[in-house]
Amino acid sequence: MNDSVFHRLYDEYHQDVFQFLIYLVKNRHLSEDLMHEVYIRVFKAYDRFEGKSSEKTWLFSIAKNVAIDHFRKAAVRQKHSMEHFDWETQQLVSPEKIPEEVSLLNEDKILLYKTLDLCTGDQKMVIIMRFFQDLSIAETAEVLGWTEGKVKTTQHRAIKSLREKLSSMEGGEAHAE
Amino acid sequence: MPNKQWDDDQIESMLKEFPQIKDERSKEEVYMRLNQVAPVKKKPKRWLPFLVAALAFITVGVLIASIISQNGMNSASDSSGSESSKDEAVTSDANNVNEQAIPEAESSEGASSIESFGGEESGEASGIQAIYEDDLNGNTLFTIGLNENAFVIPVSFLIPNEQIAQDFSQASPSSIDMYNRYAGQLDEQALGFDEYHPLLGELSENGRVAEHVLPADHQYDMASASIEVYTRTLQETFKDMDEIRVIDEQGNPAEFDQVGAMEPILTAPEKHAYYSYTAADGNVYSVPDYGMVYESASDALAALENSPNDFLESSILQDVEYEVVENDESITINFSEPLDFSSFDEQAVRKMIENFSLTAKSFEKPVELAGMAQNEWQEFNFQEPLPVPEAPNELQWPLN
Repeated sequence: MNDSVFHRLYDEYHQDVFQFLIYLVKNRHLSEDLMHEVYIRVFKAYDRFEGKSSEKTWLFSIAKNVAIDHFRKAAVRQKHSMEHFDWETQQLVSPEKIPEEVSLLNEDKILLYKTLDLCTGDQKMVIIMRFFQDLSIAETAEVLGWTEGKVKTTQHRAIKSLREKLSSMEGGEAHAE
Repeated sequence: MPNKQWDDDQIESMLKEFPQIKDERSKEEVYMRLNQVAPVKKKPKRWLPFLVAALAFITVGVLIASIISQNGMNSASDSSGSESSKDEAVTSDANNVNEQAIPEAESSEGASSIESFGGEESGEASGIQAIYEDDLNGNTLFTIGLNENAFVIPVSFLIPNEQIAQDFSQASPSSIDMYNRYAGQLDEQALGFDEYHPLLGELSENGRVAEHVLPADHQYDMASASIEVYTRTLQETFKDMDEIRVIDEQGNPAEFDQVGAMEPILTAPEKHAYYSYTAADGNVYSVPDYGMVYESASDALAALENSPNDFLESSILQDVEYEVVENDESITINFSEPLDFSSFDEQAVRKMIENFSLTAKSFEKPVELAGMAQNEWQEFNFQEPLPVPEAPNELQWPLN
């Protein structure tokens, strides 16, 4: 492993990628494990990084793949089958408690975060990238390997889906932890 | 919260206000973990079950030969009325067991190997010992069934809790978690065992039910002995599970040659007697005689006086005789003559005590020793029941 590469990647992107992972999987320790896996994959593939995308979006795309692999394994464990896992259409739900930082927010925001779990995987991913990580449409498209148009459509549908779900809840059962 | 109206702009602005969440570890910590781990994981080898089948074939052949030869000698000695000191030592409690166990004949190799284990000749016995409750302070127990010559030998590792905290997100990882994390790093050959791990396929858990998803071309069912080794390996490795389901990639119970659809494998301890097994590298392990299930602890403990075959040796000290008294609550082993442990090799005494304890543990009863010259020896206080081992055969951690 090239030490200087690690130090540079850590300084520039570590906290951003970690935040992306913890917002996805909720659990801090699990995010540390996944972050570790991200580095391992980064160093395996670093020589092949061609600079077609930015280093930032390349790192995020690896983190996205690591997270989806985690959800896929969890789905296999839960369903006792190896059936195809389509992260875009299925939900990416982590059965963990919400991160402590989120639990300190007001009720509306907690409810909003929990409702993300009810959206499809592609919608949750886009919301986290666009709003929590502040990635641009172009960056999000690069990370996900989509067109910018698909990112915009998915984001639009995600917000609509959140609004509908939140409105239908009327502040009731979803508050229960 | 009262009913409220949500609109898109409001949702978007709320999403933008979510806080930053930081990784609280230092850069050095993250870097150290990367440098520490990066284990070179072994890949499962598909030819291993074939090797196990072949070894099992040879082992079973030797076992049968030894049984036939010893039975032959036994009947010869019966007919000639010649004595066997070991036979005489067995108490009335053990008589029914003796009909099935194989008494050593004085000229057989089995007899010499048993004798070499006790008394003054046993100085070479290695110090593989069981793990007790106190050893668990600050450590996490990782057990695994390793293999040598198609024998499954349960071994245990104590992994420091700091390492566990570093490797897992939860404080108490399950046996499945630990297996998936560490089995690929085990250098079984360096430890003196045959290569068997990691198992092919995927291991996962749901509560206390483990699941082993096997690829279609697995060969764990190559022979009945291979199935036995596979089953015992799972039982010795995943003791915290209630059962292990063996399934194919479609999610159905795996079809094994000779047995059909695999029933869930139960991990509840079977009632076995523990003997000494000397591995090729000279280390002596406590191993249950899987071939024999006993109804009572007294039968199993009495059976310890005799080696069941040429591979498993009795660990009872040379010329020592005892009687087993069992009631509903406990077991007492009364030595016939006042027994002075100081006149025996320490490791040989320890192995005998451990095999008593492990055997009694499989019946979930405490066992006491009576009739020794000493009330205390090493860390043992014989005025109390023997401490119950948490697991047999500790091997040193770290793995490399």
